[in-house]
Amino acid sequence: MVRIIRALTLSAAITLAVGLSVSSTAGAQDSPSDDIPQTIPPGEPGDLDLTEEDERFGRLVEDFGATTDISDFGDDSKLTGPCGGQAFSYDADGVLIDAVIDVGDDGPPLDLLDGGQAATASNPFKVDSEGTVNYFGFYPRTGDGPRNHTWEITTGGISLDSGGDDNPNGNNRNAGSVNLGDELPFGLSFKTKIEGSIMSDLEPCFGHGYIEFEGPFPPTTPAGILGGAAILAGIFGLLFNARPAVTWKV
Amino acid sequence: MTESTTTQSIERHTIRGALWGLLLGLGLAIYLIIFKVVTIGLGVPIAVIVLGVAVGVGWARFAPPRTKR
Repeated sequence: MVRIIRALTLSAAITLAVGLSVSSTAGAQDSPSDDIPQTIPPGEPGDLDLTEEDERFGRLVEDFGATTDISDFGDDSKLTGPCGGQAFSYDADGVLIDAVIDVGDDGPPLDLLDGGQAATASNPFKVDSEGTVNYFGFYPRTGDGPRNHTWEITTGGISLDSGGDDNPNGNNRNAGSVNLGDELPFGLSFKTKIEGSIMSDLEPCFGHGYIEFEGPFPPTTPAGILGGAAILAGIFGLLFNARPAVTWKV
Repeated sequence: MTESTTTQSIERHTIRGALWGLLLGLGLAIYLIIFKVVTIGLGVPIAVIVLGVAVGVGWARFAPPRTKR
């Protein structure tokens, strides 16, 4: 269970790091430019080079900002404050299944594959519970990073994880890869809304959005087996152990 | 000579009904989550579990009684 929560936390951190918004004054097109998927590595995710990912982020912002216009953002996902980044989600075979970017303004994250708002209830950030997520995040984009910061990630008001760091060197960016197949003890399927915040001597960042874990057919997972057993036990218990009974006394 | 009388009564199992209903509600809440009908959180799953308990209690109170042998 601890590993599940850790994995959830990592994914939540990705969403927070990735919360994005492209300026509502950006260009206009319903679908993303063909250049954008080509900018995303097609597979074989692994450890990321920070400089390379920083350059990729710059190219994505340039490409996406030049070709996309969303003027009607909803409140399902948001990342406010001077942080942002990108995340690419791959399935167990290394096939790209979702990609999201946040340029670091107050708008919501954007879906790099369909050009819409990302991490919403109807368009959650999809991750394969046996796949990999590559992420790059900054806070802020230029200048010293947050010293003496604390962060917390919650879902439904329940804290999933929290922490902090002195960050004496003032690092302002990070890149990495999360192999969910290694982190999770078994496949999972669910959707959740995650909130996150990071506080420091800089302007704080707040974010929220939806993540969907895709896994094997749900009833075949441990959670599905447990749930199915509970349903069957409940039905049989009600039918044969809790029904009123007529008794006679002589 | 004494005359014996037989009285009939209905035995109800409200606590059992609540517990089995709780289990049913818990299972349904898990299925709603893993089939992504609802997002993970406290609101809907707790409502489903409470509904399960209510169904269980209602069943235990008002279901047609069976005859004990």
